[in-house]
Amino acid sequence: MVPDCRPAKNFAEGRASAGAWQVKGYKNPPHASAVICSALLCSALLCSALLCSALPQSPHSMANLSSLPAELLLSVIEYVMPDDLFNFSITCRQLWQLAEGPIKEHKALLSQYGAVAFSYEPEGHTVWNILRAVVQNPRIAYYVHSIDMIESRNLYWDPSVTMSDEVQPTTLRPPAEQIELFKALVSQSEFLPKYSGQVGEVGVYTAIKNGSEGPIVALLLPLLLNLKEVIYVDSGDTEWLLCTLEKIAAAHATPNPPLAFRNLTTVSISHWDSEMCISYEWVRFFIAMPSMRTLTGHMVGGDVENTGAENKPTLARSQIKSLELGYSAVSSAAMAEVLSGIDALQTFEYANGGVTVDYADYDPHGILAALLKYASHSLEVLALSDEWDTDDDNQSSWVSLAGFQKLRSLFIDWDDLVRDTNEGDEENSDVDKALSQGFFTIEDDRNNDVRLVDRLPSSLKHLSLSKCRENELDMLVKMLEEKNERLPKLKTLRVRITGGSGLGKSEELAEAAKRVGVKYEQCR
Amino acid sequence: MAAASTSAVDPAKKMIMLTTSDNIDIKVEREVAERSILIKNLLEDLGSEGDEPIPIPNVNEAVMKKVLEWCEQHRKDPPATQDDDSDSRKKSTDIDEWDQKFMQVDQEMLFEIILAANYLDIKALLDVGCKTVANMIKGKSPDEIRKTFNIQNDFTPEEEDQIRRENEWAEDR
Repeated sequence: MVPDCRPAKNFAEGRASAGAWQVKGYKNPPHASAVICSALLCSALLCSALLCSALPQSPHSMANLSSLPAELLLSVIEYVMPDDLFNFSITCRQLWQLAEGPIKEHKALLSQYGAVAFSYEPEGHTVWNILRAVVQNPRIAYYVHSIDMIESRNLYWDPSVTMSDEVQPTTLRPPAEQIELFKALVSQSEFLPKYSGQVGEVGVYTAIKNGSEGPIVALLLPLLLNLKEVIYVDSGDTEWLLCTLEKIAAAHATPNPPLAFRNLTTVSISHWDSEMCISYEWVRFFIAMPSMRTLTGHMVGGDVENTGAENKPTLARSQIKSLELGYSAVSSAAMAEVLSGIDALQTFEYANGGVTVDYADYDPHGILAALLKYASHSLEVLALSDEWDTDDDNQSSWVSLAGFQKLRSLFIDWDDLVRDTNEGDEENSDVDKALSQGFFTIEDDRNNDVRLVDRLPSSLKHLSLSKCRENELDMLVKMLEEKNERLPKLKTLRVRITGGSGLGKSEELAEAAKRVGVKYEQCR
Repeated sequence: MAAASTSAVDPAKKMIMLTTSDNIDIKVEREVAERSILIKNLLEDLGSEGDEPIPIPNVNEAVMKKVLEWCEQHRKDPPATQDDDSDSRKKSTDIDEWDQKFMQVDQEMLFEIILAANYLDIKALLDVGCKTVANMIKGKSPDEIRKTFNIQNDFTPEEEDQIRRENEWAEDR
């Protein structure tokens, strides 16, 4: 035999006609029959040796991607992940031509599954349909980049049924073959609990059989490995997903983190009804997913339960940058629990929704204290507002915002900045001071002594104050007088005045702002 | 095929001989070799006791040994259905751990294995090979892919731009 020419190189044969990407099939080669004439083999080797010298690309004819026949390249293309398909196909002409079909399919799947919004129509996207599609063709799982679980999505179960073991005979249920399919998935799932505590001890199989959406959602979401965005309204049987999220958030803290939710960056959660709330635990679990950057919530609430606190698993540290909770009622202890898990929060916005949401007291100073403790090194935007005009006893002592090192923008209610409702007292809740907050009393004069520059960080550029009292605007005038020394970066001051008494203070304030080059806006 | 007795005539355990393209004879158990549908069919066609060596002219010794190592590991796998539909190809790119280690070879060997698996008609091995290539592409830019596989870009920059523009939304970045 010819010693230096690598044997079996009749693979290269097809190149002669098809260039770098041979089109000729390799399957069933001409001499696949058992009897091989060694002379033929010999000539093939010779031939390939000649060919090799003619090809500029690979002079020693090593097997490489280019040496695969078209049908094998197609096999490779079929295994290329959706996100890579385009990048692979565009590398050269031949591949682009070969990939025409797969690219077409790719586009079709992307338009069908790229952004899934669940429908309230049975023939539209439902969690059952999507899960079945993903099981039948796992490639689909890679296409789903965003999931919108609107409140009016189609829930098989009767909305009047609140627990998954109380289904009515008339309740819609998924077809039997789907149930079998999903049951098989349950046994493979590492995260889905087998029982839901929220609804007593309901087994997962019962819940699925009864048409509960809960376990189906909890099975589906972790399978969507490219999922980037989730919009979730907590309709239906929510405990399954919540427990699943907690387990996955904890698993991300281990040396072998799971694949689930690795690409999730943006989550929006809200409560389905106009009263009560979605638990703050959802925030804790979602923000612990490694790529999470932004979470917005509407009607989020809850307090830390004392029982079983030590049993809470350790979650992965959160890399979230922005946390915005509107119309919410999260207790300061619960908020501290959320914030303590975040490495470097940049934007925090919170609007109190009061008792329609939850019974947790609005405690702005408690929230500020938690922010100072966990985010003073990173927070750039801070907005706190009270849409409810709550009269809650403020439970926490006043804190100075001067401790924030990078704070650029501050939106805050006047009283939260200037009033210390706990003056003289340690944290307590038994002394009733509610009256002094809501009315102008002698006490208010004392607040005119507050030096605002002591309470604000020197990094501040934009200050926006709501519910300012006109008779206290002197404090702002004084603040502006010290602007150059204490708040050198301040550019804008926006003031919303309530309880105006016509003292003309606003004009005086506008003048003071003008003198130090601060843009001043005022509204009533 | 699984005979109840372990007598010396168990056809699965019977040794057969393969002759590689570089004229090396390799002895292997029939059951292992029959992971290759090509060899299985040849043995059936020949109808003999498999005493004569079977020539495998497109696979050299090094590659054949590697392929047989895989066959040995997967000797008890259920046989692949002859021509699976597109469904089976739509699997994810997960590769089991043993196969992953098995595929930690240089690129030349990887493509030799793919070519050999195709020639010998070992569908499962071919799939593992293609998945391995797909995994090497994961997360790479076109240029990185070209570099990895030594692919020459024969598009003009204008053509490439045009394709990109026409398919912008399919890139999904």
